[in-house]
Amino acid sequence: MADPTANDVLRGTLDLLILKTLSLEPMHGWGISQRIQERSRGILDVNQGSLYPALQRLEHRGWIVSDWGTTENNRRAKYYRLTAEGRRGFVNETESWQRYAGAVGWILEATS
Amino acid sequence: MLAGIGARLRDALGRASADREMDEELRFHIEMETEKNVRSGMTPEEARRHALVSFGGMERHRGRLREGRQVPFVEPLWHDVRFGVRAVRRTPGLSAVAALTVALGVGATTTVFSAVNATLLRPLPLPEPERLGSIQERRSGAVSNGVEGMLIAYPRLLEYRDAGADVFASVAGHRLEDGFSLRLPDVTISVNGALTSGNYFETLGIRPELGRAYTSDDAREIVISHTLWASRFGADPSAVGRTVVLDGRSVTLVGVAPRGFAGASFVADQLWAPVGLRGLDASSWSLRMVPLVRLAPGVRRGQAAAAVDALARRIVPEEQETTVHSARLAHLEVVPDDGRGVAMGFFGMLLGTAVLVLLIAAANIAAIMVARGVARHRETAVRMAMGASRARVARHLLAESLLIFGAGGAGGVGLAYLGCAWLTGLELPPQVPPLLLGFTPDGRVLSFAVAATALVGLGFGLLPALGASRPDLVPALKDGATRSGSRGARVRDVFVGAQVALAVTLLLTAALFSRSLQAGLSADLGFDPTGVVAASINLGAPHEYDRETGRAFQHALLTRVRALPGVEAAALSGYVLLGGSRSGGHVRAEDAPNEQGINASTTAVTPEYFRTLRIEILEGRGFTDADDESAPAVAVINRTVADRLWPGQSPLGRRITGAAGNVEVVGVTGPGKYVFVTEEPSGFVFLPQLQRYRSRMFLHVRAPGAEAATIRDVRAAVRALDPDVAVSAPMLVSGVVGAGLFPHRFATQLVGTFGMVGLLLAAMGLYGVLAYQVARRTRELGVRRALGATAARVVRSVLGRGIIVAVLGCGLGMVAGGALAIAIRSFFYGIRPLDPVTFGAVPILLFAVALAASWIPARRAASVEPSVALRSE
Repeated sequence: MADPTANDVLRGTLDLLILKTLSLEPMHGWGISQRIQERSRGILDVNQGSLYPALQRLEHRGWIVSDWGTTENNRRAKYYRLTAEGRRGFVNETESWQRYAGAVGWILEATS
Repeated sequence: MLAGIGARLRDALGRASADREMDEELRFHIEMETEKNVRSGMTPEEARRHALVSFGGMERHRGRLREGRQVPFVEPLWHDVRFGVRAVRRTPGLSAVAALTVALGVGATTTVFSAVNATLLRPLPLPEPERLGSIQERRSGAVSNGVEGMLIAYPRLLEYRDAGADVFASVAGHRLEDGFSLRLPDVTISVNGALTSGNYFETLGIRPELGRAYTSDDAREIVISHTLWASRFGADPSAVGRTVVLDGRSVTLVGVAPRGFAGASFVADQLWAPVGLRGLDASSWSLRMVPLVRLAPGVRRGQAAAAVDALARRIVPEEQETTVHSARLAHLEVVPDDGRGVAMGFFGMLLGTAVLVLLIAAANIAAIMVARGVARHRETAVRMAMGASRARVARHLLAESLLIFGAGGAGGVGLAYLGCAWLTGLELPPQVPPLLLGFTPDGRVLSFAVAATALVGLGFGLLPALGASRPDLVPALKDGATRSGSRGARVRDVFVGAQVALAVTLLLTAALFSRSLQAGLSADLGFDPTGVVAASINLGAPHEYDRETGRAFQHALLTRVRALPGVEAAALSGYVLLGGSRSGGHVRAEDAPNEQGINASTTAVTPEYFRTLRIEILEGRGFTDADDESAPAVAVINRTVADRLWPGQSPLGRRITGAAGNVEVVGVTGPGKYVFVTEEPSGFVFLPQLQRYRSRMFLHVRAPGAEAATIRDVRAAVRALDPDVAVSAPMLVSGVVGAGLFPHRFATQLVGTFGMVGLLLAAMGLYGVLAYQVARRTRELGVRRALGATAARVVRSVLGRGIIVAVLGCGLGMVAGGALAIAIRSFFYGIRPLDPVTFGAVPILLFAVALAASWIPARRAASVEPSVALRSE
């Protein structure tokens, strides 16, 4: 059950979080959602309803590709990994996110 | 990026496998989540429930993912097509009927249109037809009408050429000649062809396939058609350069025309010869030809037309008492100007009846599509309630219509090809030379078929379906069946009524044609054509027969022919009765010069003619061998002339003057038909051939049962007398009479077929609407039966509906058919346009069919078991 205090990942940032997760290692959908939840220390909860469409979107953009592989428990799962294009995109998106987050931070500080 | 496109295509196209992968991926997710929950201490059931809840609505995710897979535009379209295929497959019978109906309507109209195209629209198959033309002068005076009026004297043509050198690249002339006699080693044949100026081939831009063309008016050379080369020379290339005898003169065969070239008129030429070969001289004003011009490079048609008109007024005509008022540059067309009006009327009428078939088909389609729309009303309402846009629903209907009409249109084109094969195979009247008509559908015909299909598809397929699917969400969802059903049923009744009306109109027209054909066939001809063969024997130029030697030849021929086995009688006549030609003029009584005379055809005949054709002599006598040039000039007139000139008195011994000369009447024949079977009673004067020599005569031989052998024997007899004389146009006189009714027979067959198709479609429509009603009313009928209605009463209630539709439609069709019949009354013979037999029989036929079509649904309604019916919904 989802933690009631957990925040839904903001639209638009989910792609970035997925790319970040996949930049470390190829992973299946469930694993991606777990990683994001763990790394955000439980603050961010990935809604499955947005996760899979986001994966599909990224795949259509050619940033990630998927293959069927097996998990440690020997289960078939669909693994996603970054393409070269996706890696470039990830770098760009990260920069622009940091600029954006910085800008929002300045504004919030200035008005507080 | 490439990987992305690949992923999209894979997703979009491999729908089933993508669905499977998606399900597996989501299942994996749920399982992992469940395991995680178990690890955190839940029972397996609880863990799974939590996993599912946290995941949210599975179906919603799947839907979103599926949509995400779609390639914009292509995917929805693909989806629509698949939807259409599904819809069509769900109702294969109805869809097939709809497609077949479209095919029948489109096939009928396209067939007639291809005939119109072949005769009236398509240019002659010549290279660069837009650079070619003919000069047509408008004249008054001596040489102003008829065939001769369309021709221009050769010297005048040369003046056009010289004075119009700036607009014409060349000016040529040709004239059709039937009956060149071509002597081959084993046989002498009569060949249709053209006498042409030397520059004929150059002007038309035709290069012979073998050998070369002649280039001078006086060359002793000929070119033959590909067909003649194949049929008579065995397609032997060494035929070129060979010497043959044409009309008794040795000429060299210098070329074979390319396949498909058959001259520059609607008659298929088999041979071309320069004018000099018939002893015609370019300076002769009596040599009259059809002009052919090729425009000079860079000259526009309008410019050339203006020049032609100016030249026509400037060049002084030398023909006596003839004035040229204007001239125009005509296109080279299959049917020449003077025949276009008649042809347009005839084909317009046929096209009109074909359009009626198309309209019936359209009404049928509309009824079917409305039924489908109504049946799908509830489904549509559900889909729209769930958020499908109106455009989306419309697209589905469009896709479905496209499939049905696409199949129907393609079937229609197939039917049109069959129809055209039928047209091509039609036997033309024997005296009509082979025509240059290609009925095979071309681009224009196919465009017509597509347009007709699209029109019916959009107007009568899609719109009604859209209308029937109009969303009345709430009532449709509540009890879609009952409410919208009554609206659809009313609309269908209207369409079926319209079909009945149109079918009645068609049937009436078809029946009128058939009745008028019957009237023509049973008309009293005044002679008996059965068992008589006729053939033309021409002793005129270039043969060197004069009056004496010609008579001797004719006499010797008749003697030989009479001795042939199976021959009962033989005679010569100036022409074949009912062959469509005539000559003659005004005649009047010598003893009453101030009385109005009568127009009469005349022909010269040998004494045995009346016996050969079994023409009854009512009064006086026929001719004898004594009626020669040394005896008084005599004539046999028909009853019509006698009654006009000397009403109530015997004409024997009296004299007539005028077109027949001044002759004494020695006999009277009964009235008959002379030029057309469909003519009004007209005057006829027979003259003795021994007093009127004509070099070209038609040999008539009565040889019942031995017609074919007789034609062969006659050829041998003629060849034995003179190998250069050809026997041309051999024919059965009964065939000529039948051929005179060719338009009636053609129209009867075509419109009759259309009428039957229309009747069948209307019957199908009626059956469909009633069967549909019965199926819908099963429950109501069951209740009625349960409440005590008898089977007869139920049958009556169903039949009643069919009968009402049929009566209204039939009444409307009778009115429309009557109006149409009066409008096209000139096509009928021997019957009144409101022929009581026709107008009595057609409704009876229609009601019989309507009753049969209604009977099956009515029986089904009567056999409804109350208990079954009450459970049916």
